[in-house]
Amino acid sequence: MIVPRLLTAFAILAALLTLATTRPSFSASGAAKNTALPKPAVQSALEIEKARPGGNTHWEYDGARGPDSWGGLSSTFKLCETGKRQSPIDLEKPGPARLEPLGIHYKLSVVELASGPQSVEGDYGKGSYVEIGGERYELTRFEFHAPSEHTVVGRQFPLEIQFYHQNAAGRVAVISVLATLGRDNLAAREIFERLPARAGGVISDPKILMNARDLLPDTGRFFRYAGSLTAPPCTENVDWFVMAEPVRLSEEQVSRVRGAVAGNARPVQPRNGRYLLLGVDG
Amino acid sequence: MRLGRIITVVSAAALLGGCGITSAVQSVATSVIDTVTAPLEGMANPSPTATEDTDRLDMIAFASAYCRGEAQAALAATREIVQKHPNSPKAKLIHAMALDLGGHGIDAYRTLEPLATASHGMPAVLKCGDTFIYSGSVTEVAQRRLFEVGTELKKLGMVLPLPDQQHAGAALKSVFMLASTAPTRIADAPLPPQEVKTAEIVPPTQPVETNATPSPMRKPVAIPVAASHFVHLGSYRSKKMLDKGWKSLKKRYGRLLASEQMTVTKIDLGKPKGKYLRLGVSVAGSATANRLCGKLKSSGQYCAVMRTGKS
Repeated sequence: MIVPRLLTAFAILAALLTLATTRPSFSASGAAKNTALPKPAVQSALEIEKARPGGNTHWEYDGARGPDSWGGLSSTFKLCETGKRQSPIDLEKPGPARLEPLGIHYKLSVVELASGPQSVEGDYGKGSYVEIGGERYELTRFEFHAPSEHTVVGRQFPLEIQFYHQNAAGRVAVISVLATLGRDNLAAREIFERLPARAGGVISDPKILMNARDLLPDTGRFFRYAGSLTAPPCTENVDWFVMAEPVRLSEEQVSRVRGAVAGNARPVQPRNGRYLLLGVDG
Repeated sequence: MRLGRIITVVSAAALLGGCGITSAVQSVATSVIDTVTAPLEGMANPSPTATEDTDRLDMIAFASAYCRGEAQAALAATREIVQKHPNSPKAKLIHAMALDLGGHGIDAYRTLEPLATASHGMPAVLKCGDTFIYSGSVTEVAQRRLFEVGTELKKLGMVLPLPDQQHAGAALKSVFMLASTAPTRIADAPLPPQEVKTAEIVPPTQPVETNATPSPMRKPVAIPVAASHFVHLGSYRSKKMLDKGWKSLKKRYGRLLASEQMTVTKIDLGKPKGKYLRLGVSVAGSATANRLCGKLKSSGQYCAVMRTGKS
């Protein structure tokens, strides 16, 4: 009886000496651990390349190789299953805050469109970038997801356009735009007219001249949170900026994209206590 | 002075609840529980009555939930406590902890800021297992938490000061406005002919059963010809039963079906089964359909996804 009491006293004394305040992280079993939130490693450009459908390990958006199974398809996809800061998420109950503005410096550029089994994307020419916290992130490509991957208070949009950027250290920032139904979008017309009618189809004339700025909404308010790539390998440490105003596309334009990608939205992931901020005016 | 003690008790009690504990710690926890007799600071009723017991239960609920990482339960407990003791700095502190755990960083910051700048010398302790989550005076703990929460928020580009309530309220309202711009159903792309399975569509204005009692609910909505999936929730012999079924589903799964309109299709299964009305909702995309169906199934509801398409 004495030994356990002594051990307890010792444990309490040792803990008191630390007097530390910590935010516990939680293991799968639910037991608390006195560790800081994991800091994901900075990813390389190579990992971004792997984020495209296809690649060495075959994965899909549906069925046995769908999102629920991604984590088990390859050892490099583990984070899809075990990651605690995954994307997309439902944009609900954000914290309103004054946020550093996004310095968007997109310019007219040659874009090469490409389509895969469940993807349509555009590789953007060099020289367009966004400034975040004084750092320059180059716009490398954009991709379409239909329906949207992020949801707002549980509501899914017909389409989401994600603009991928990378800084010199390899850190990724994504500006994402939700699209809803409206009139024909002139800026998007040239892209959408060239999309294949079926998933996996060939884009006949892939090179176009465009300014990605034309696909962004007029107002600059956005949601911001720390997440991941929305496709394998689901690498974390990705900064997400989801614009708080949708752009409008015609039903025909949306249908065109849906036909080309055949449903390429990963389901929303748990927030796991992550902060979600929303920029305020004023 | 005694809330800190209560918190210590709570942490120990939380351990007893499953965080893992030695018998020695159990005995320490029990002895501390025995010594607690005082209510929270700032509470309206200072006499140690039933209120105190309720407080203790709320505190145990908070610490237990916090240590297990259950943010919603922790928040529910601290809301109770703050409601009962709106002037208690310790109550505010644990509420800020629960807010932070739930990912409400801005609210946590807003709650911690006044605690960190005032002088609250009473001790505050929270322990999960062998780990002290915090220990010190309320002001000290609030200052440390404020720094940590502020650092995380600044990583996300937050600029101080926090917006006033009016601007913050307007921003939150805008989220619902944004959500309202998402169409309920989304037109789907043309599907390859071999994958098309055409369901018999009930037109929106056509009554399903001529002698059925008119329903006070919205009329059944036809699956738009371009909709991609039908989430089947049940089959009925009559329109009356179908309406009753839909009402019951909406009541039971209100959150999941809040933005959905019922879709009805007729189905003839031949002899001996006969004709049925299929009740469900039409959604765009297999991912959406499977997600909705999965959530309903996990709640015990029958659900099946059927593919529809352009005829």
